[in-house]
Amino acid sequence: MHRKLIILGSGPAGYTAAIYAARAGLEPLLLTGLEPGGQLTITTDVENYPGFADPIQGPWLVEQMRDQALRMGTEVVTDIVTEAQLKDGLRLTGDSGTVYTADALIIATGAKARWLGLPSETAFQGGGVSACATCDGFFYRGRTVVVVGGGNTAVEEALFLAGIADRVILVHRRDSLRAEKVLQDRLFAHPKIEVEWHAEVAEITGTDMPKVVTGVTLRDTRDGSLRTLETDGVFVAIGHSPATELFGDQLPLKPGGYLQTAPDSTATVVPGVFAAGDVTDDQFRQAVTAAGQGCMAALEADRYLAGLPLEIPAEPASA
Amino acid sequence: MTQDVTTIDASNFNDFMNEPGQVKVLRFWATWCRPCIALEPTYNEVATEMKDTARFGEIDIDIAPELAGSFGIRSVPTVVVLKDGLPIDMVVGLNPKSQYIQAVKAA
Repeated sequence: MHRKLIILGSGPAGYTAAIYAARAGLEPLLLTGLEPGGQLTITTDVENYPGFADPIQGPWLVEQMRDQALRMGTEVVTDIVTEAQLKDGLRLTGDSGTVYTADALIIATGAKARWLGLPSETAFQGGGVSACATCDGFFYRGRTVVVVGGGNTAVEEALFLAGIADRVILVHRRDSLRAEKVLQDRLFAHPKIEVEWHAEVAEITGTDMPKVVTGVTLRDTRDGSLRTLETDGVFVAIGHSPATELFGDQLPLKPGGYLQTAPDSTATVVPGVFAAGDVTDDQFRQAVTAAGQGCMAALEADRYLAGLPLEIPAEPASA
Repeated sequence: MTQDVTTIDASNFNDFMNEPGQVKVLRFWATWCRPCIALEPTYNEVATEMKDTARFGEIDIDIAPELAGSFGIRSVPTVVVLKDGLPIDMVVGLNPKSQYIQAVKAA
């Protein structure tokens, strides 16, 4: 299957790129990836996306973007790209077995939830370890849960879980949170939420048959001392890693694994390949900035396909 | 929804388990869980493609929390593969279609 422009990813960056590209007559094909709608689909209230005076739901917002992209003439296909080749033409292979080729590509694959990396964390996945409070909060009515992290996601998850669980313990490595002040104020005012400062999860403990979490061992980040906490669940919210595994050996990465683009541009070092949203943004990572970058990528792809000049970034000295 | 996936709750669970066929597959899901909704079309495709290999069902954990409890489900979506009535594999979360096909084939 050949298209002038293929867009990978179905979050705000991908759909905004699709809306602009479709309006430019590029007849884009958008491949949704594993999680249609991306990270917004597992959030709850969105209060900072401009244009909506009252809080809106993340899944609703991204559905509106999809419908807008479809109405403009985007072809949306549910498939997961498992192989990408950016040399000698752009060639992608899907989990469905379909091979896609394109003249230009916008990479808006977003970011995936980061895990702690403990063997016990993997062992208890599905048995009390989760990265999705809106999915799994249900199982913790009247129970105790630990949330790991200190950013917006961690605080939002803690607040969401406090509406269900009896006791929520936020575990954070430092003595202050990175989350927005408005969220911190709500967190500190909540009677069911307590914070374990200067603590990281050293181990998740539980029963073997069935595999169910019963506690965590915390390590003090100042003196290394260990202490244990009883809990029924562990929600990991320590941020996201850019989803670059398809391209990591073909495109230069910035520190942190984000795709490198030219300054003030979405162009990568491969002509015709652009990157937008959380896969390249190591600074802001907001729905609205992702949408903005998606728009930029579509406008730049249009220029590229029309044969107009673009600034292509130099290879970084050390990637 | 496809005719190749049976909607299961406490009232018909035993009937489903007693249907012919060694391999049964259950998808635990919830209406509020977006990854569950994202998985549904993939699961339905797998059920249609593999209907001669296994029997497929789905359980809404809001409607049948006791079934979710008896399988020890603590996360949705979770797909459980059973052979001769016993769970032999659990695929947790939203995964590519090939992973579900592989889990059913391995049973």
